[in-house]
Amino acid sequence: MRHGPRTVIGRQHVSYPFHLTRPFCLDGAIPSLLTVYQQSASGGLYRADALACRYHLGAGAAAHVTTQAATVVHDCHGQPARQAIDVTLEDDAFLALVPDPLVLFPGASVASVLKARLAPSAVLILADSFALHDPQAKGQPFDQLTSEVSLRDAEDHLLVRDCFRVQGAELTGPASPTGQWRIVSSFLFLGPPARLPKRDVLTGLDPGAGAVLGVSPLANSAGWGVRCLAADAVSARRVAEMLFSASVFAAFGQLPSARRK
Amino acid sequence: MNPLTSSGLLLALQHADSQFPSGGFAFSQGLEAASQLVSKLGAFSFAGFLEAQIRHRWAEADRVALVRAHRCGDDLDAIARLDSEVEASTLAEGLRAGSRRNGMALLTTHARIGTPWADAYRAMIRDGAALGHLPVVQGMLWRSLGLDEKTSVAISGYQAAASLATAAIRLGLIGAIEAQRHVAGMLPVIEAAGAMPVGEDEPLRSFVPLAEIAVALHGVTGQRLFSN
Repeated sequence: MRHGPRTVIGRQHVSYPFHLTRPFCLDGAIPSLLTVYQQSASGGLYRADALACRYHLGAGAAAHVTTQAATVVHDCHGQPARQAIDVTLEDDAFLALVPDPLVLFPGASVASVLKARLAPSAVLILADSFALHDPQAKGQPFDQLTSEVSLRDAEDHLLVRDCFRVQGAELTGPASPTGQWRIVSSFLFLGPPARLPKRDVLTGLDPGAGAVLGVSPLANSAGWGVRCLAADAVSARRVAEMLFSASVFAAFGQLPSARRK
Repeated sequence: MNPLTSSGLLLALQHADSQFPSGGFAFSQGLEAASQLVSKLGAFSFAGFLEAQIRHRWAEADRVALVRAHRCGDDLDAIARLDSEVEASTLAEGLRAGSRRNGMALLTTHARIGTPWADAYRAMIRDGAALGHLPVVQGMLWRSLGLDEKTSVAISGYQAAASLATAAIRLGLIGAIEAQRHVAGMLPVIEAAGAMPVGEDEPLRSFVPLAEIAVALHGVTGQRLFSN
């Protein structure tokens, strides 16, 4: 919630395996932007996990919620780890919910659902990414990943839905929809155009040789969608940081400080 | 209508025929850019591109939208709501716009030949009450003609594969004989996908990030043969 020039955590309930760090104010020029790192005490996601998060930002509040590192998803033995995230943003709120990638070990299975509801003047930046990881290089991919992200307006109209279901084995052959790239990221920039980066800013970003990205206007004038494919974690993180910086600059007129991870 | 009867089979052949003016010739679904931006996007193979499109876009999104539209029958308001869902569920602008343009072209042809519901739905689009995405329009029109759900799915899947093969020929990626080998290879995939159940509110799923990036980059490249 907004308290004078700052954003504060008004109410917090955190249970195992999550841990939230204390809120940081890392940007002297943007006192309203609070940063919180979400950590897990369990060492990743495991079979049949059922995790739920809910973020509610009051009018004018601004937050950057991220992780300190990638999240490992272990072999789930056919019982997916489930994640449900619910986001509500009131007038003029800003939330960048940008965790590091899921690292999908052999047998990993995740089912993720994110539902967001935004006031017309609110801004939501979402990052959702995963990396294939086969540590013994035995051609053993993750099991399955399903994801459903839906954005509705204050009147409950569906504005954007980004949904997919893919098996790890489908990403290892010549018919992989990701080609030869190993890290898949999606970013959604949602909100009024005046508080989002301009299209030429996003298309003008240089992802470097280790990544490619495509920018598209979203349906219903909801904002921008960005797909990114990267060859390695360094390239993927570089793109994510560029996009986060662009979104903060568009919303606050100031670039954010570097986040320590 | 049972496609095994001669009249049903003939009707299915008419609407699956590439000579039917559906407007699909203008779209490559990212094939053009993916095949031409190899230095940026990575190695390209038509077989891989085609299979990814069929498995991860047609089977999970277009087929689902078509089936749900087919089940709406003559409830055009319900079809329009599904149309809006397709719009919201298609991330890449180039694919969204292509689907709408292709759907409108097909609808226009059907309106001219007097297919039931075509004129009424065109009017809804003109009034801003509907969008006209291709799989939605296909499901509605083929249902109105009496083609059953299974046959409609088969036509849609065949056209998805055949139109990409045709685009690949026009781009000089493959020859006409090779194209038929690729299409034949997709038929079992289409048949298997067609047997997958579709729930009442089944979400439209799509996972073709490389093609979506290609479509986004396609819009900023110079000369091009296709709209997406």
